[in-house]
Amino acid sequence: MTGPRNGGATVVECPICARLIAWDTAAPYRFGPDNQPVALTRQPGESDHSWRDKLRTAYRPCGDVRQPGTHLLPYDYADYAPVTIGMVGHSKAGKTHLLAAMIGRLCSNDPVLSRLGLSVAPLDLRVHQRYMADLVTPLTVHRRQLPDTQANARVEFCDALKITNAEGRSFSLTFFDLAGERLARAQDDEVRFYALADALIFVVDPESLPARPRQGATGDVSFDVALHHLESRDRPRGSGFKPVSAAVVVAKADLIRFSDRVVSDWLARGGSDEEVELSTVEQESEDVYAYLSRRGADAWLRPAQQCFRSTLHFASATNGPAVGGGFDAAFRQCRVLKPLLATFAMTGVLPESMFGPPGPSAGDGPPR
Amino acid sequence: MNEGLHQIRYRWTERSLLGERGMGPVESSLPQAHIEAWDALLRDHVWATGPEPAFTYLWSGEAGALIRKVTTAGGGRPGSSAHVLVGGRFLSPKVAIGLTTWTGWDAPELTEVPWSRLAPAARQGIRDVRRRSRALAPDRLAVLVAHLLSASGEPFSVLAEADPLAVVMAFTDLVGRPAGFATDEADDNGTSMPEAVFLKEAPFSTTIAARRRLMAQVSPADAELHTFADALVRAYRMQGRDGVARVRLATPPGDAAEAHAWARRAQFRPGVLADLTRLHLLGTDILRELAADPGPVTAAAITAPAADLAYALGQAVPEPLSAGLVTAALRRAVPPDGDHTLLEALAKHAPIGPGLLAPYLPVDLDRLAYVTGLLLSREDRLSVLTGAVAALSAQDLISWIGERATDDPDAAWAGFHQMLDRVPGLARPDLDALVRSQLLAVYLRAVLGSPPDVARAAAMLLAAFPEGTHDLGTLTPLIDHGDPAVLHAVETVVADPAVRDAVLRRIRFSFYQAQRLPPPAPPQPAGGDAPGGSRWPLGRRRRSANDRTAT
Repeated sequence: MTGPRNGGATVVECPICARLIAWDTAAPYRFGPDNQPVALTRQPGESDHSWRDKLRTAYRPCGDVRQPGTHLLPYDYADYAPVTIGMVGHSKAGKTHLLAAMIGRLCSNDPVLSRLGLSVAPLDLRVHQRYMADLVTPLTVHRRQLPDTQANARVEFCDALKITNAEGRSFSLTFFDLAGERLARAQDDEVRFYALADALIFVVDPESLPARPRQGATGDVSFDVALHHLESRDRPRGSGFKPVSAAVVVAKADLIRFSDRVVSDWLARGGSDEEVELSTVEQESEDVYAYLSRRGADAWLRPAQQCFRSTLHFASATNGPAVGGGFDAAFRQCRVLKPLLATFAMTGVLPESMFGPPGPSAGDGPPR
Repeated sequence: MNEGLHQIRYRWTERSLLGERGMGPVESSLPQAHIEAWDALLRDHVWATGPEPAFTYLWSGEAGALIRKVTTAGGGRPGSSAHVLVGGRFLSPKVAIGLTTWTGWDAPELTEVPWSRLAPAARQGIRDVRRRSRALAPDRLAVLVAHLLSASGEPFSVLAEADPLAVVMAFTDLVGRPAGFATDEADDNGTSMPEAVFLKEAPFSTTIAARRRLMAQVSPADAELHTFADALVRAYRMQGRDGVARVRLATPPGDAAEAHAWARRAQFRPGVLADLTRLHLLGTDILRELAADPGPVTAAAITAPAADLAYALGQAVPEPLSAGLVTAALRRAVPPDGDHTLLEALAKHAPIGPGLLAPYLPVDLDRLAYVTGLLLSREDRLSVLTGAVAALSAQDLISWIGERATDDPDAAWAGFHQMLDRVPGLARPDLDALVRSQLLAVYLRAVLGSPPDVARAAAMLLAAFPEGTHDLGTLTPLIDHGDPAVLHAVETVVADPAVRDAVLRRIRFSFYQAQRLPPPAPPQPAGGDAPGGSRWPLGRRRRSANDRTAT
């Protein structure tokens, strides 16, 4: 959310607290050894090159750095179009594993990504390294089950990436992954990313779905809270939809692959090529919608029904349940990148036309 | 104290007692209606960071809550499990520290626990943790306390401390903070975090910390508070809570300015606690420095509890300091309502110079007699009391001497000295009152004991009588009294023949009286009856042996 104001000065909203920042005049800071901000000043005679290099790892505060609660944003955050993506779902729905798997795949430097014309780099190197070390590597490399996301954890983005598309347009991506207990609270003044989120990834826990239709399932409380918060935002002109892109992902899909053929078929098509082929999204969305309807999980479909743009997906971050805190040889990520790419297409990072029919070199059609 | 504490257990669940999914209350001894209110306070504090138990203590405003939490794996996703004791006004921070060693944690069934069952565990736990607190590295603890004082009134975090509970106990004993604590957290963010949060490392974040972070590795910028903290810690290490009890505030300082004011008030000089009971424990060098400027010690002695000052008076400290203590103690002990404990302690410093007493005079004569009896040498006391009774009238002076003659002869003697000084100028009525009193005969005997001494003293007094008063008109009451020592004195001093003749007559009278003889009748004129004549009372003659044999 960047925009010119006051005669061209750039005003940016902090993605964490939604505070307005006079970006051009915000002084640069660095984190000191005790993780406290230290003002970064240009030394007399310092070359432009040296100064620019320092600024690459600098931050701009969203307020007075002496005040607690002020956030430090990457120095070049507003140089690119900000895109904020939040994970929504109840506790142990699979949000953390899914996001770690998504970002692991996104940052894997897989050649298929270059087919989309995307290049990915850390926006906040410090945050990204931490995220990779604490979550992505333990999951994808060491195949370890990730710990619970604690409900008392700080509300801030867990990773920040700079992503540049084929047109050379760059975006500042920030990801939020909070504990489900927290997302289910009707009132939590610290959770403000709903106000700015460009996209929400609604994570459906298949284990909590009703076993059969009309079982009286009320859905996921966190979905309701998120949708309720979005009420406060202006709706897209001429529409009654909520102004956010929604990817509804049935996570842990491996757990239901043997109970539903459609799920099994989609998971079987989890190769790299298919994962970046967005033309199948519409079909997959229809199938997921139908699956949830069959299960009587209409309450979980509200995001798809109410948000301005939406897609639906099956995915599995681990391809099987954890045993003893780890994952066995069958461990792999299934279709985790696709919901993220769909989100990119819905938020303008990728062209929305990618949802259209495949070009000559596109992959197979939807499974049937 | 008949209240009990309730228990709540938290862990991840599909459906908690509140009907929610996630980490929530799964078991409790509380009525259902109370769980929701407690959960609002507890839910952000039940997350653990490691397998070793961590403790969080919170105060709701009316009751306390102590949370014990551990991480759980159990073959599943790493999560947290917490066991909470809630309720009870008596669940103070210190009691909470003590209960961290309670053996009832993780009991399979949760019931209300009566305080009577918890109290012994709390007391033992407090002792155990305090022992660890006193064993903390003093330099490191002093740095933390200095940081804490600088952050007075603010919530704070402590980084990388191996024994957070021991540090909390030390903070509580020394400064009276914190009101709430968490011994092991991953982050110190959040408005509901307790006043003190212990972190293994600075949390990784893009958000400016909401609280001061105390690190033992960072030297305090405030030298004055560091020095004070160092003195507090060393006293605590040596004597536990007693070591700092005299300087502790009733309520912790509200900001850094109050902390500085406290530091100045609580030290004789930088690094030396203003505690009279610890003076004798100080090193020679420090004592020498204090002795060079004893003012602060004396000032403290004026306001210190009497028992502390009395204790200090009983210890060996260098002379200038000792004199300051004595001076302050005199000021508090000499007045009629003065402290008896101090007076007794001062007596151990007796005899003191009379000049030390002078500033606290005049004072009630009875009190003065008592005080001087304890504190002054006989000579000094005689001098002080002699001067003090100068204001009394002659008759009051005689009474005063009489009242003390038996129980406090030295004071009475001082009164006698005053009388000696005053006699030459006594007016007639006072002189008459004097000779009619029992001063010379009875009181002097009580004071001096031996007749020769009484005779000498009486002679001194008589010799001082105004001129022209050594006559029968003045001295007859004395002579009639018949005390040998007084008669001796009169005969020694007075030249008047009539007086001397009266003395001799009184002596003869006394002599006969001692033999049960009546006063001899004056001789009859010539021709009268001879002794043994018909007027001899025959019936009263003593019978002889011959008389008995005749019968």
